[in-house]
Amino acid sequence: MLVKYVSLFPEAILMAMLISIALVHIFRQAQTPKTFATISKICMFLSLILCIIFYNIGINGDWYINTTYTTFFKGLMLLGALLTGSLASKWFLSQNYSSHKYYFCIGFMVLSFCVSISAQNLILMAGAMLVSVLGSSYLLMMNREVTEQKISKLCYIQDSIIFMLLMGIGVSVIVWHSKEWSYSGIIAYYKKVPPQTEDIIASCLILSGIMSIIGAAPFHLQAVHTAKYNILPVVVFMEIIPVITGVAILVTLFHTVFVAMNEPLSTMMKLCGCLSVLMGAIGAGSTLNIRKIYQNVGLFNIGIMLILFSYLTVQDIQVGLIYFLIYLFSIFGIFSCFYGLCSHGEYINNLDDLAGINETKPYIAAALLIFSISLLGIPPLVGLLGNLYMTKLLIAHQSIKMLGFIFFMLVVLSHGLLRIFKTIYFEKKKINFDRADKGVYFSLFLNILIIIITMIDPQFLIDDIEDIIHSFL
Amino acid sequence: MNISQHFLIMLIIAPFLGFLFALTAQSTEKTMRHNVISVAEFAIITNIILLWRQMTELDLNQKGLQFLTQYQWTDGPVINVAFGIDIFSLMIALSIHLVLLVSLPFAKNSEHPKMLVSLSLLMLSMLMGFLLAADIFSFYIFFTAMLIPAFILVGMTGEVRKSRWIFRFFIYNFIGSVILFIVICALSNYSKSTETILLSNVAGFRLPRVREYWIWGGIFIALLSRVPIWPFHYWIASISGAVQNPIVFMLINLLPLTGVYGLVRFCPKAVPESASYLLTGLEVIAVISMLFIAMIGLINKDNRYKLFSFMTVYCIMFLLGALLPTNRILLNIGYSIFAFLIIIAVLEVLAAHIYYEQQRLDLNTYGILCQAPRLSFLYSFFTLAAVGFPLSALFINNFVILSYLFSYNFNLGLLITISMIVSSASLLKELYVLKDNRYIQPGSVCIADISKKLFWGLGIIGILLMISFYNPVLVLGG
Repeated sequence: MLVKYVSLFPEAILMAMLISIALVHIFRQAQTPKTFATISKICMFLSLILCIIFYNIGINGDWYINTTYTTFFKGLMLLGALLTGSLASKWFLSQNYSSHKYYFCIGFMVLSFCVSISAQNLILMAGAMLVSVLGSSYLLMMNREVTEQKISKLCYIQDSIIFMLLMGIGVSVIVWHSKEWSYSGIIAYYKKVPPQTEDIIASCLILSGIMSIIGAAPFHLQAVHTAKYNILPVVVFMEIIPVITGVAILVTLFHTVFVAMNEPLSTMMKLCGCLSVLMGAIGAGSTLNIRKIYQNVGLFNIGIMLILFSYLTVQDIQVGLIYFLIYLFSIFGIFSCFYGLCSHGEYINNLDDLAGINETKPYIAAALLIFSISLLGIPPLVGLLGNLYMTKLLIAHQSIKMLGFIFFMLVVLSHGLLRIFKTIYFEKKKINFDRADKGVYFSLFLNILIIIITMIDPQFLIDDIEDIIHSFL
Repeated sequence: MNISQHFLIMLIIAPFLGFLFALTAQSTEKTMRHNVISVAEFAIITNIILLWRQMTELDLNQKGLQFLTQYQWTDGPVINVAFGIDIFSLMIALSIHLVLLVSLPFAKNSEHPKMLVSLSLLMLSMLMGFLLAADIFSFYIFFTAMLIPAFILVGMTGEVRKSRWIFRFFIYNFIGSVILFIVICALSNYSKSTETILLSNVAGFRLPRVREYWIWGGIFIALLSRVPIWPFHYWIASISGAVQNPIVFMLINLLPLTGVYGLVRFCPKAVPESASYLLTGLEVIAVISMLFIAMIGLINKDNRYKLFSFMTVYCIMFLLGALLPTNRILLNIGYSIFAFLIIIAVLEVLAAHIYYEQQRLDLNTYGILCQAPRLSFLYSFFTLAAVGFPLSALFINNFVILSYLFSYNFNLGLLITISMIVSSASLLKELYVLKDNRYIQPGSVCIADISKKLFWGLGIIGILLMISFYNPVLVLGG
């Protein structure tokens, strides 16, 4: 019995981290940015280790569960948070800016995301997501800004709250109809009673809430806009961690809880996916802000993932998750590169600032090129594998028009990324950069190593994903 | 796995290791140039020795790829990759190495010698992978992977960096790659067996008529996107005119040959009937493009454009030869390409020397060779070899290819011959201009001749071409 509660240790440590940060902020006089980064690092690392140790032990019930599937996503999220948090400490040091708000918020969000991933209950999942929005709102408002930036962030927060409330309404309708709140109860109910129109609308509202967390179109507009104004650590965190959570919950809901309604939901996901692919490809070519360019590249990839998840076989989930992992490694690599591009204490934001970095920062320029190529799916990098499985699957489903659309948009997207390659390699140096942190190089090296190993022997990735899906189904 | 199979993989790995070494070379400006070029020379010579070793082991009478090596990449879904070599791919690989070796000294004049040499080695590694690919997946991987180094090479060394040509270059080629990718995924889905899908087996696939039509249409478009025939001719013409460095010029002009090589490997002479209409259309478009490019080469005053036009006309001739419904001239095409690439590389190196000297001394082209005897001799020798004088394997092998083209379709053969004559005339006209001494005044400034070292180096290549007059393999010990 005790061991079931021990499995909550990762969450308990995250809770302890929040308390420690608050106490240090209140009582300790010498508060360097590193203090909070160290607390965060230790707690996240411990949480990650315990999460892996108790990977299949949980409070088996209608509330909370740990399986290989949940551990995989929680582990990814904790690892992502650990790395983004570690890289962010340099930013706070260089800016001499108090980091307690940042580390408190990311701890708070990671905790709520962990709860929502392991939740086996619609109310607990929706509640945790709603709470996470509070954390993200606080995170977005943490730096000084001019009015335009403030309005943009307020719009984003307002949108997030609206989508969470809509998700809340959807949850209420389903719970009210089925008189069940656990996932297993809802599945059993819809096996007996065919879903009504209001059930379908409610499930759409729930999924739209999840998609707003992932940042899929058409729920993405404010998210892309705020990337321009936010500080780099916030942008990196918001671009990676919520997406991991969103994908975990989306797959759970779509393929298990709402399995009785998956035909209309599949159409909705395909529409959102196509819209994301379209907006991402066009958006990447129409902005001069590098963060926005890569956020649009991310949107494009999220669109493809939604399209893959919208099909209903086990292979589709497998391919979707492989695509997702490859995307995650590449986009994390891209944002790690941004941490290495700092000029006079300011992290660069504009495309022009990248001019000639192959001379001043050759390794970071090469890494940026490698990750971008991987995101485009150009061989011999690992992105090819994602594209390969995706294409084979769409051909097997006879979705040739969809395939044509995706590849046409990929060509459009490539134009956006070519501008970056051109600026890096063909233009003369415009600004000098500060010395990059060793952590950035370490993170890039690790990321590139993973990409190369996965490309040479992708079998371990495929086998692991297969195991995870079996535990999930 | 025997030692020859290991050598196949080494042929891809050696230039890649050279790329990594060259990329991480850190030293002063002067020694860095020296270091990266030495690394490149070492990698290229290593590969030439390995190729020569493979040549001695090859059985010339055996059809198809030899030393076939297979690896399982993934087992769910099953994707295997395979590598192999035959005398056709070996001759092209060998000539590419010699081309790079000849043009390598010009890396010293580049603004970015380190990037230029390291990316050239990366591209060489990708080209080797492409030439050794025996299955559809490895073929696609290397076919596309050479795009990024090519894009950066063109952008870093040409005057094209600020223009839209560079984007068009990438986008045209990328569209071709995307189409090929969809085709190979479709082929892999239609093939229910878990065995490797070899390139030579693709033509044997029996599919519903409409699918066959789309798949072969896709293969043709993908591979022809690399060959400068209408409507894909635009990118390479623009790029070739603007690229200043001989290494980059040669590497970019190897891309069309990858399209021709791909068509040879997909074995279109055995294409299903539904796709045979596509071949007829392709022949018509190819021959019209050939004529136009030859004409433009004749009227254009830029020496580089003339060379590009000459290369393109020959490339399309090789393409049309490869599409003939016979396997008999495949070796002739291989031998011809071997001599052709080396001749063009030497001409490009000499043209680059003339161009740099012209820029340095602000001279016009008339009679510029008159006071540089070594340069004049080599330029004349290689131009005459290029236009079809019996000085290299180009002469007799082109004769064989043309005779087969005539016997297949007289009108087609005639139009190809006219195009070749026109493009040869443009080279001869350029030679005449360079040697026209009417405008030379006594005591006027003249360009520096090439060094004795370079003269003897290129002279040895000329002798090698002459003694490999009929069959280069016999001379090289195969």
